[in-house]
Amino acid sequence: MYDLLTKTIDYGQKLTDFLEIRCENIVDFEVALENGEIKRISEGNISGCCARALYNGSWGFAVTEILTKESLFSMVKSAVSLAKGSEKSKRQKIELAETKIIEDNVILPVKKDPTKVNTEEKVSIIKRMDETVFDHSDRITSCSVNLDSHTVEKTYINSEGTNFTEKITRTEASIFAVAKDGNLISPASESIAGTVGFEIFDEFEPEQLARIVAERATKLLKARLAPAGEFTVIIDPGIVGLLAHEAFGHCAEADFVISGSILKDKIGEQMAAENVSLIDEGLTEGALGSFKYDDEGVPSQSTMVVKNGYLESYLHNRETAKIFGVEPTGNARAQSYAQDPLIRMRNTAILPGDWSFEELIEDTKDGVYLKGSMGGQADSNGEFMFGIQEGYFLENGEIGVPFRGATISGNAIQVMLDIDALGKDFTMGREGGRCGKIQSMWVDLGGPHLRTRMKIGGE
Amino acid sequence: MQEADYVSYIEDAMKKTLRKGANEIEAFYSKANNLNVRIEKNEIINEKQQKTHGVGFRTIKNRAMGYSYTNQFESHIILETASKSLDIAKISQSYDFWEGLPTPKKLPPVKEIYDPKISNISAEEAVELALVMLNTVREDKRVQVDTGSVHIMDVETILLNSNDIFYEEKSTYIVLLLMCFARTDEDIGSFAFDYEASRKYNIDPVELAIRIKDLTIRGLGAKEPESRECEILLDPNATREILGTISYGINSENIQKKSSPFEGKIGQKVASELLSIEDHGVIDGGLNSTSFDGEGTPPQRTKILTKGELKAYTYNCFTAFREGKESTGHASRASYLTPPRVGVTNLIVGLGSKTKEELIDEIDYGIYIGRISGNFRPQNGMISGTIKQGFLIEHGEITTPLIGTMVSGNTLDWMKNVTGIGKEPKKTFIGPIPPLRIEGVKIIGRK
Repeated sequence: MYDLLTKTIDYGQKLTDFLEIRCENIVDFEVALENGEIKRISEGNISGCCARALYNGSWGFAVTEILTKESLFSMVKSAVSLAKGSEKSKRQKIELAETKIIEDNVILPVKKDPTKVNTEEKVSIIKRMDETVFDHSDRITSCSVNLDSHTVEKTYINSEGTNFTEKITRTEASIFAVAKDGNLISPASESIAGTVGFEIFDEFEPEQLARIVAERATKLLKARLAPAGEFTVIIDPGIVGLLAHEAFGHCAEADFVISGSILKDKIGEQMAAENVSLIDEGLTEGALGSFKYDDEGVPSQSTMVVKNGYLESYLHNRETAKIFGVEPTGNARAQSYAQDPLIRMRNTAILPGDWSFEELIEDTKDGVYLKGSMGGQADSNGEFMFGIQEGYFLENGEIGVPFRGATISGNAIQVMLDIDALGKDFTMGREGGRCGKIQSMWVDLGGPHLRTRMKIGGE
Repeated sequence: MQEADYVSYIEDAMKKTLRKGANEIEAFYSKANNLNVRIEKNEIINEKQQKTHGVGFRTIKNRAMGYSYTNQFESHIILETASKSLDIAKISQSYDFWEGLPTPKKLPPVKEIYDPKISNISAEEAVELALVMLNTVREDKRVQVDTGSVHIMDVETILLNSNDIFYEEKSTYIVLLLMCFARTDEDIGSFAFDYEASRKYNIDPVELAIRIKDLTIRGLGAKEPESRECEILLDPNATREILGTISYGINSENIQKKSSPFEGKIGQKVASELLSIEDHGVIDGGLNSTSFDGEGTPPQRTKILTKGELKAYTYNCFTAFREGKESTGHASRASYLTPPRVGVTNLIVGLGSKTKEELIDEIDYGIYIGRISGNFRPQNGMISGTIKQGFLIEHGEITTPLIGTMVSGNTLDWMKNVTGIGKEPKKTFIGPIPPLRIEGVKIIGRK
């Protein structure tokens, strides 16, 4: 395959200013269990290639799944033709920041390769999770468990001489349960995931995940509804990671900055409390957003976005790095060979402070403690909204009665400025999920417990 | 290699897998040609052409199912993929109630789901459509385009099974989408989002762009309202949570796994008398219309809610057989990558008699909601989110744009509290939907 791609680059680079080709072979496995019954076992293998051509400052992108010389050459011609087609509409010609030439073959480490684990063992893991949930309480009426693995072998080659292969394996288990009591219905969910194999289930006991979900669903059945209004909040590391990614991180993506995000022209200005630092990185072993090279062949790295409260860097691909006159940060990522790379985050986290969890609680005389993130969205003006699964009133420094999940909201900058206490219990990774900016992308989150102020959309 | 070769490989693999011991086998082939022009940063960013295809095999052995797929059309890979689905079926769970894959039936005629004019849109024409949208919204320089796209899709599906089903269908789609915000020296507005989608080449990019430009500018100078309970008017784009509660609740998969709020409620009042909803899988030009569902059952017209009373659930073969029923033609599959699940087709909300303006005119104090950005739980209806493209309604008129405003409540209650339905539907991705007016909704703004 490598020889064929070299020939395709040799052919295509005569037609355009810059050309890159990315090929992927993807093996996916899924088993789904619902209320103890196997609902789905599915296994698939797909392959394809894409070409991205830069011609006179304009991009064209084409895909093929037929991996012959004729088809690959035709794909390159289409990409060049599309670049020429949109060239006339460009007001500003695209240029790429320089990056070092890479030649490498990478396999991210996996101890238990999912493709070598037999299906019976996979089914056995999720059956144990299902049994744990139903054993917890007879008020559990529904439980769905999914186990997925995704292995991609990528080959990247460009007209500047960079070529590398990278094999990444991802494994994920998710569980969703519903408890009922009369007309009261309470759902709960959790997942674990990483760029790892089945060793994730040695590190994190799957039954423990099931117990968390079962306890949450039953406990919240009779919990009161969330309160409404603005509160002092202590948020758990999963929600902190979401704050770092969704509320602040998106605003620091250079494509969004150029469009006019709230962080536009703010490098060097204070955007968070002085004790707050925020990173986006792709190096943590096993974290879901980790990789060695991005989809433009730029090495992944740790990027300090906010340092001690001051905005230090945006997140870049080669195109925006050129515009801003900086080095690319390795954030160009594509969902698959069928998509062109966009600026995407990797593992995004707020760094820890020096408060113990107990000190945070004891010091909060009036507020709420929020746990369990459920995803969220952010807006152009910095306004964000996240779902949370459960909360507790804090009264006189003690955790009080629970309340049901709700949406929390605030302005990203204000919430970051309002952080007045950072825990020392930092965790990175395994909270992973998908970010949905045009394409679905694996990302991970991290942080300590912290205290700030937010609005809760409750009763 | 031609498509006829692919089909012959698939048929050959199905025959050989049956000879290896499969009791039944189904193949779902889909081919999609996508042309996409993306706008970002007030510029056309790129043009993309994606030609993708693949086949998924569902094999049944001793009433247990296995699924496997590939996009590599070499005969030995197709055969290996079909065999893999048999291997999976052999270790999967057996369901005694399984009666078999569908048999051939007369398919309903479905008009206006394929338009050769869409298939023939050139890359240059797609760029021109994007430029028209971009230039129109940018006539006002305060408007910034965060994201926009012109998406052209031409899809062909072929469904085959061992009961001699061989169905083919061609579909086309065109989707124009814009997400903009306004920026001045003093203010940044929130995102304004809207789209137009059609199976025919009948969309006006200028009309869409003018609508979004106006909406974007109207969002400047936003204020936070006071917290209170009031009437809301949901734009068709903001009805996703209510309709999501209904489509989740009537899905037989959710009924059978006991996670639906509508379990055991057929024949009961679950919504206002004003609310009637049908699922119509064969409506002419419907964005989700098709002449056969994801496993070969003809779709139909199903009454879901009649004057607030719950009438039916939606089934595919598997969930129908579990209850000794027949499929309602709701086997849904997004592509060859997944086996069929259960879904809805086009939801048709019964229209009211008033225009949007007349519905607003009757509100003394309320909120107009363009979108809700937040979370809702269809299992229990709990909703909590931030209001987007929202405006205050005072004395029958839309006045101040809103910021920092949240809404919370329960969509199961909202369904019961509908006080008005518009007579002018918008063609949304889930069907033609009119505005809905709801009373007694909690709004969280200033203390």
